[in-house]
Amino acid sequence: MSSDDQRVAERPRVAFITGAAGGIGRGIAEHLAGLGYSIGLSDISESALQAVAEDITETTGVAVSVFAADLADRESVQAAVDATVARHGGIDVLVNCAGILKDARIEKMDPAVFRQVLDVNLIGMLTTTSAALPALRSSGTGRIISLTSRAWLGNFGSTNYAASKGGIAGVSRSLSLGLATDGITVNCIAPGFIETPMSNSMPDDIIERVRQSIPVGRVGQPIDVARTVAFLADANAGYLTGQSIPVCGGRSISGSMRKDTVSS
Amino acid sequence: MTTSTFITIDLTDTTQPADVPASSVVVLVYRGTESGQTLDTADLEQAVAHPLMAAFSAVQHHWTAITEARHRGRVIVLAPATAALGDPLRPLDCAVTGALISFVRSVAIELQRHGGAANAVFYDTDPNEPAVTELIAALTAEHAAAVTGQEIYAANGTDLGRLHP
Repeated sequence: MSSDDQRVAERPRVAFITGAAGGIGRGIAEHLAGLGYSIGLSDISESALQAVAEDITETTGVAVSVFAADLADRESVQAAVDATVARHGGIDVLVNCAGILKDARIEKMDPAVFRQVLDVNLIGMLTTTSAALPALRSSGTGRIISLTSRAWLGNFGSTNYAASKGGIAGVSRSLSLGLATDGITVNCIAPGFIETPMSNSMPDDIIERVRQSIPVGRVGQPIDVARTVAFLADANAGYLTGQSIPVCGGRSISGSMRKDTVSS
Repeated sequence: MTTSTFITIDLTDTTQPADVPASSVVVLVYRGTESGQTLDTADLEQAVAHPLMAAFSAVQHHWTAITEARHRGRVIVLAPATAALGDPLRPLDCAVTGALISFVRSVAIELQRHGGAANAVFYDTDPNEPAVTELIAALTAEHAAAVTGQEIYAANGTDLGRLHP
C-alpha cells in the first residue's frame, strides 16, 4: 500500500471548481460528481451556477454547493473558499478553470483588455490558489489542477490569453516543488479545441478547419478534459506533479492554424 | 541597408518614460524580485501585473518600428533561468516568466508574417554576462530571423536534466 493509499480520507473527497458555469468547468463538475466527489462550484454568476448545480444533483444525487465569486476580488474568493470548507469539511481538489478569452492583434489590443484577461485568468488563479492552500495542506492529498490552454504554446492574436496561461504554467512548476512535501500535487491541463457554447459561436468554416488540423479527427469534448482532471485529482495520484498535459487530440505536436482564427 | 535601433527595457522599473523613440529591436529584461515569496501576502499588482503590462506596452509601443524593419525586427525577452524552470521560493517570478514565455511565443507568431523574430533568453545569475550578450547579438544579427519563438538557455548548464517549459 502506498503512502497515498494510507492517507485517503474517510469523508468524500471535495473538489472546488472555479469557472464552473462554463462548458469545460461544468463538464468537470459533472464528471467528478459522478465519481462521488462532493462539489463546490464557483463562478461570477450565481444564477448560472444554480442551474448547473441543479442538473448535477438531479443526475448524480450528489449535493452541490454554489458560491458566486469575482476572481478579481481577493475577499470574494476567500469567502467562497471558506464557505466550501465550512459546508463540506475541507477541500481536497482545487480546479482552476475560470478564464476569459478576448483576442486581438498586438496593434489593435486595448491595454485594458490585456489587463482584464490577466486579472481574471492569472491573478484570479493566484488568488484562488492562495485562498485554498490551508485546506489543501490539511487534506494530506491535496491536488491543484489548473486549466491552461494549447495557446500556452503561442497563438496568433492571443498575446494576453497566452501570457495568462503561461503564467499559470510557470507558477504551477514553482508550487509543485514548494508544496511537494505537503502531499499536494500541482499540475496543468492544456486543452486544445473543446466544443463548448463559447467555441460554438465561431463560424462553422473556422470550426471545420480547426477540426481538420486535429490529428485524431475530431474536436474535443468537455469530458475529455474532465477525465484527465479526474486522473490527476485522485488521492492515489501523488507521484505526478509539476506537469502540463496537453489534451488536444495531438494538435500540440502537429502544428497550428495561425491566421484567420480571430475576428479582430 | 538600414540600421536597426535598439532599446532595453527593465520590466520591473516603474519609472519608464512614456514617450521613448520607437525602436526595431526591443529587449525586455525581467530580473525577478526577492526570494521567499508567498502568494497570500504578495502584492500581485506590483509583482505580477506590472511587469507583464510593461512587456505588452513596450511591444505595442514599438510594434510599428519592429514590423517596418521587416527581417530585422526583433523582440527578445531576457529572464532568469531558475524562474523559467521552476523555483519553489519564487512562485511569482515563475508566474511572470512563464507568462513572458507564452507571450513571446505569441509575439513570434504575429511577427512572422512581417519577417521579424521574437525569442526568450534565460540567464544564470547576471543578464549582462558575456554569453548572454553574445547570444543576443547573434539573435539580432541581420540574417537570424529564422530563429524565432524559441527559448534559449545561457545558464552555464544549470538547466541540464530539467524539463524545459
